[in-house]
Amino acid sequence: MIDTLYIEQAIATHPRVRKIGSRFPNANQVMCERYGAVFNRKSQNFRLQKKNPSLILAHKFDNHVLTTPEGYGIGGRNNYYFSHMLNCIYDCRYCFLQGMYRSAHYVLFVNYDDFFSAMDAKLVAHDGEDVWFFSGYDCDSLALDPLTGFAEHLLSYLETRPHAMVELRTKSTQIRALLGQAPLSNVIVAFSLTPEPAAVALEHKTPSVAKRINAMTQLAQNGWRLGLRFDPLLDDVRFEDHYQALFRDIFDRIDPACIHSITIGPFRMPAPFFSNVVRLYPDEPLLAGSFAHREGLITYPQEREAAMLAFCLDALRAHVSGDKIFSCAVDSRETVRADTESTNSGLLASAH
Amino acid sequence: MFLVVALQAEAQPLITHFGLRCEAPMGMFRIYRSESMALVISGVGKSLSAAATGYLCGSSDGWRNAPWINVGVAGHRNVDVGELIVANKIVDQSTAHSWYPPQLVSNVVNSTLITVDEPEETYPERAAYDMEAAGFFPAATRCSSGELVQSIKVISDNPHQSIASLSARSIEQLITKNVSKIEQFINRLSELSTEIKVLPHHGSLPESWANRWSFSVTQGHRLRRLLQRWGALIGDAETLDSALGACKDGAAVLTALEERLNAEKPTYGRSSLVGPRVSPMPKVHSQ
Repeated sequence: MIDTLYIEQAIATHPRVRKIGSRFPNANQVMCERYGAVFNRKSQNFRLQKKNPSLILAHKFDNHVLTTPEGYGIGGRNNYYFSHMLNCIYDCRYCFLQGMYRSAHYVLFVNYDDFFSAMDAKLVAHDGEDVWFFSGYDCDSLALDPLTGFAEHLLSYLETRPHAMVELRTKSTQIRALLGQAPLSNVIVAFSLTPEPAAVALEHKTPSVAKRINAMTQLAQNGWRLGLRFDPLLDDVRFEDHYQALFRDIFDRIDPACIHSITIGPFRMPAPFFSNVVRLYPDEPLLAGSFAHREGLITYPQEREAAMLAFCLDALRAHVSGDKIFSCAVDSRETVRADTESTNSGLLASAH
Repeated sequence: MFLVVALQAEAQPLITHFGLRCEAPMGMFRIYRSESMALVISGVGKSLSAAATGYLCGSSDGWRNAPWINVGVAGHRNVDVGELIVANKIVDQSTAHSWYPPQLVSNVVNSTLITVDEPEETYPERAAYDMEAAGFFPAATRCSSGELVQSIKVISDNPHQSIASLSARSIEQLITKNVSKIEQFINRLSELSTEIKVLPHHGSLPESWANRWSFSVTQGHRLRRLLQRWGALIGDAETLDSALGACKDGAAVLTALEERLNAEKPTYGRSSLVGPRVSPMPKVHSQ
């Protein structure tokens, strides 16, 4: 799976580095000063590297927890995000990480406790209030968990911090760490979903939508609260049929009472990232579609986007109450707020 | 495919195997070519290697995102003479600067490669030692993506077999014994390069178009993107011609293309049909 393992010299003897290194006995280990010397170099091609990504083990020194852009959230007032990893084992053609990073190598920051200390600092800053921490912005929260063991450490930390609310966003079915313990009311396991034909065409190397729904069912049966993330919404000549079928498949299996929140967000990507992705995949039909340039983002044309959102809102309201639905569209926040009386939404495109 | 080699003795087996011919007249560096490959003999040292890389690039077409490989011999503390290694880390000993060529080719022996200014005879680290890679790599990554820029070395000396015992003849023999492995590596990089070689950014407008319409620089940029979209969504040159048949000028071409593309209905199915790219759209040149 991993042919080359880059390790920052300063953490070469870290127990977690040794443990992960032992999982790849045949990998070449290359020592480096800082991960950026490998990851951020110019003259790299994301598309080529995606064919055989390496793993970089690194130490994160600062900015462990960052403030989300204004308006991002699922009902809370205090919203932050963190990334213990950069990049992802999946290869979704709409993912903004392709346009944001020069390298497709996976970076894992092994100093987990520093992330938890930073979260503690935010809890102190918002004493007595719930604070939301979103994981899965720069990576998939769970996809590499069998290797990293991050979820187990995070859940252990969260057991004694009831005001620390965490969203684990994923497309993976790696839920063993969750099923192995009692559910936590301050954790939302949020699954990113697109209709099966879109997943087959565009979400390379991901578990099928059916497998994701199976994983959700198992989690729900064990008492975990779920999130549904229809983000990005992807247009198709049969958009309504595909999304209606997806919603039906989900709610045939999942009790709406287990759903904490639903986010819908039409395709959007910062224009420079979009240009980079087009350069990487000039023959990708998705990227050659009809798009508009709005507020620095590449989006579907406003009218089409509004129609997609309106359809999904209506269709979802047949299954769950409107106050559980949030939007991440550029212009739709007012619309959704008026329709559902919810007060939070977001602009940020998540990878997963 | 571009090869940068320090010595004639290192180059000769490659010249013979790949059927390369010496280019005349000779300039700063001696260059050998075939239709698909060019090789430059740089001389010894990182400065000459960087200079020769630049010289080969400047005197060649098709260098962007092509494979660039530095082939040669190197010493190593722990590897047997005659083994082939691929550098996964290149260190300039004099500056302590490091580079990390991304490794996409599996089933090769990797090693750190330290570039020294004088021949290394004591091999203090578990690494290979050469005199060119730290000049070659930063120069060649100006031409191509790092994944396609690699240094591969045949181990010629180690603590048990001194560098002093090397001769032109023994170097030729070492490279000759590894030439098929070198070719396999070259072929693998060539396959990878085809993934990113066909971007329609350069070249000229099809002749039939150039005679009918002209485009400003700005229009040319827009036209490139529209043709790229056409290739991804429709991909049929005949339909393209018919869509533009009545256009009187460049601006009308752009409008017609855009309207036709925006009318195309999105389908997920198209993305599943994307296969190897074999037929790039016409190349565009602003007039």
